[in-house]
Amino acid sequence: MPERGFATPGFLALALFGSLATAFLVLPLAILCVQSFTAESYLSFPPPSFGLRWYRTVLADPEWRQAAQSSLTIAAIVTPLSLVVGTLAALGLDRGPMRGRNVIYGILISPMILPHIVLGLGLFRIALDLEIDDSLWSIVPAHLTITIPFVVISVGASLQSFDVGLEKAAQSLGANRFRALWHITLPIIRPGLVGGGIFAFIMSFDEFIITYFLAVQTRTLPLEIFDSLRYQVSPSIAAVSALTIAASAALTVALILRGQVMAGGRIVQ
Amino acid sequence: MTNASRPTRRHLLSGAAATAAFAVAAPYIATRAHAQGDPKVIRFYTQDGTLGDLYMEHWYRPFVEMHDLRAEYIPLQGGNAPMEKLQAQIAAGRPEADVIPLHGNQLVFALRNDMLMPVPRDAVPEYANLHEQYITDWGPGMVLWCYGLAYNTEKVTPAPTSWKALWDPQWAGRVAINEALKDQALQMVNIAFKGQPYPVDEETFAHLTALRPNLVTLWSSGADAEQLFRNDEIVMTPFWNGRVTRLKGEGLPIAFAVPDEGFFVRHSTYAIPKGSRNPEMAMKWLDFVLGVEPQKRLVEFGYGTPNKLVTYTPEEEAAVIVTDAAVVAKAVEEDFARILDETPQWNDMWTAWKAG
Amino acid sequence: MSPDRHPRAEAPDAAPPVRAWARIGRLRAWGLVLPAGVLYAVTFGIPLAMLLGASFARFQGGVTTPGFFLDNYVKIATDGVTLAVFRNTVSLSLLITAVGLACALPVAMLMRRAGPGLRLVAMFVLVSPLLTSIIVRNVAWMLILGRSGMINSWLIDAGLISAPLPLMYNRLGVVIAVVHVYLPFAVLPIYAALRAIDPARERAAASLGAAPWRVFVHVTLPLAAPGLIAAFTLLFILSMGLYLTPVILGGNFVVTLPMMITDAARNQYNWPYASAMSVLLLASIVAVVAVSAVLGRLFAVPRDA
Repeated sequence: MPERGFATPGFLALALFGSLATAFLVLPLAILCVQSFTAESYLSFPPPSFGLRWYRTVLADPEWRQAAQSSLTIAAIVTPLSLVVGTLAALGLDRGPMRGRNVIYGILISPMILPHIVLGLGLFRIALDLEIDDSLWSIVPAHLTITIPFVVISVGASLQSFDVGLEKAAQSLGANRFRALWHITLPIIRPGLVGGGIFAFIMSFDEFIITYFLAVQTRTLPLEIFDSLRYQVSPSIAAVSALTIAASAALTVALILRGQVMAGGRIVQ
Repeated sequence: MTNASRPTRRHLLSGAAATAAFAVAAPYIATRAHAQGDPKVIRFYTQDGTLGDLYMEHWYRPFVEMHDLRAEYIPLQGGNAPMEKLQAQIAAGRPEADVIPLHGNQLVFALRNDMLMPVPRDAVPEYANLHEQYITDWGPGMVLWCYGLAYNTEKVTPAPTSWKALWDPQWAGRVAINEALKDQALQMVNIAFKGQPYPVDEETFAHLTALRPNLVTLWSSGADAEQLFRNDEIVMTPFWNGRVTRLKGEGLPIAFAVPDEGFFVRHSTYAIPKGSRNPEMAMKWLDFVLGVEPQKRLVEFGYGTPNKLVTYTPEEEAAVIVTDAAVVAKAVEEDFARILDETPQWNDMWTAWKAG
Repeated sequence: MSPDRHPRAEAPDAAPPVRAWARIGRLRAWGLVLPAGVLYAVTFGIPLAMLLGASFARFQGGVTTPGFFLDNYVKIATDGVTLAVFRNTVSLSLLITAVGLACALPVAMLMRRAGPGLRLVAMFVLVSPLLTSIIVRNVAWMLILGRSGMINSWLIDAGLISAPLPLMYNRLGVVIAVVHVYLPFAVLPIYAALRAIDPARERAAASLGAAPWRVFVHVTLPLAAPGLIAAFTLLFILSMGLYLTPVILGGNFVVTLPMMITDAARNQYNWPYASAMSVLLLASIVAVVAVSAVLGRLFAVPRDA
């Protein structure tokens, strides 16, 4: 609605709110980044002295590196898989008969609501019986179970507001159902896909309790952080967090520069 | 429309390619080789931090080298044996470690659920040098630690001599007690006001309610409690002596007091789980680690030892506290079977008290 | 261009044969749910069945006896503690959901108006709290909200207060920290719904002389309802599962059902009781999902409009 202009009171109020919200969201991360440069052996506000000590500690430690690697690997396998399986399920729900839809939807999102410790112990017993504990064969399916609901919800919400007429129009112009889906539906529900993908990645990357049960020697970042925090609230965790945040910021900038996301934005406008 | 959607497809395809690459690279998170009993492999729990380093340096590595073994190190999450996990593993015949440290109530739980392998006395010659009370049929008790009062020496003067100092109205919103190992906190209230640790009943919780205005939080781990002192949230809390010694060493104005009503001494029993793949080596390790050298290293770190031959410097005596049988005798005698039996009721009352 | 190509073409006045085809096409669509279904059967169905079974077992003195006992459910209903904590959990979740939605709606509206670049930045800012481990994030909040934390030291230095405010170790601290991290879960569904609204509809209303707030209330909001309902459901469900944040920022004084479940399972090894409480939690959330599904149908965007 560009013609409404940017100087209306409504917009100014929104902008003010936006700045406050941004401050609220960023504040703890900013604090963590500041803390990561402390030269002390503990966290406090404000840090009495600064240095790169904790970055050196974290980067030199093979355990942290190994943990980051495992976490990334798991999330990188889980995210695309959950996007495919979750989007298929959301499409199936959307296109399927009305009757029973709510029940299936409820089942699809239900893993979200089970406390993870309960799911974790149940999965652990199955994995023990199958002798696949402490391997990707159990960790990936376990993570998929908790990430797929987010994809189903996010994509499902996009599909609900999606005008099926567009897909019909493409089909009437001779596109088959798959082409219509690929060229029309998926680009339009892209915000839902991106949102679902982001959630899936993060849920997997930050998952603690299920991995705790399934892992014996496998170390992920949340396990490593939990362990180190039980012993001492050390600034090393601030350095690890600052590095994670920096990596994601770099990725975002790269996306902007490549114009990937803008192309997605143009479709609807 | 088609033009605009092309990057999408490329993106998806490159995503799929990346997935494939990761799937190929993945096996480094190896499917764990479920080794059958291999006399050359032993699996130990490790811990984070300087205590973990100490175990590695003086408890595990020398032994592993001496016997030319290959060791697998399993992180001991939270410093506590994961009983819920071990129970399922032992039922499946594959416990993750060959030696497990157990708290008193965990030992009772493990025995009631038939999770342990007996350790014959003659398999551990070093038992000859131990105080008798630390020898069990399931392994030796070691790593002695105390639960007393930690306080800020600049703010709390004179030094507290009674647990009741926590209830002093001048510390409104300035003290904390522990949620972790809360059975100890409950027994502490009882010995402060009733002179004996049991029973935990309504009277116990009435005293806790009286303490409520002073409580700023209930801490969940030793690291939490340290942070509370560092950030000046609290001036006093019941705490563990090892942590206090370390904070003192860092120059913080913190001290450890043993209240007149009595204090608590606990240790871990190092046991061998049923299904252990190398019980023979595990027993040899128990014998090795009970020796004077490995035990002395632990004393330097602030933990007590069951070995009678270990000697203490004056500083070590001050830090370890339980340096002779006479001091240990002053500790409150805990009934771990009772603790295990009554924990469900205690926890319900505790939750009701917190939410109330 | 045979009729079965586009089952959506079915209209109230379509001929009966077309409808039959359409029905088959729709049933076939459920095949798409199959991969998720197979996965769930193993990774969710079996643990759930184990959970149900365990909830009827008996636990005494650390030993679990399998069987069919109602002890655990009787305890839930009669011990007075579990139900009180359950009510506490629901009210905390509703509070978090209300605060979260109130913050999320304006943010989503802003994102809809923003250009693609700014939108991406906004997306990043929104999701950034999730990029740090939950424990680390809570530690950061302790440094901000604590007695000698950032806010209290600033307020004291500015002379606005004389004694530190209790900003954490209570409900306030929990709500702040949870809304902080769950905000994207509320914003993204709302944003996705807003984004799919054809601006022409709003322009049409505005050109007919409706004031901006009227356009918002009568056109935008109803069209965004599916997103709002999805956001509500997500936030509420996630909040019902809160465990670590109340422990750390609630100082353990804010007790939730998942905290009780975890305590029973990890500190008391009382798997049967933990299972029974999980069944209670699960049942309550299924009820909420059912209600929100009904609401979602009421507010569904009319298709083919």
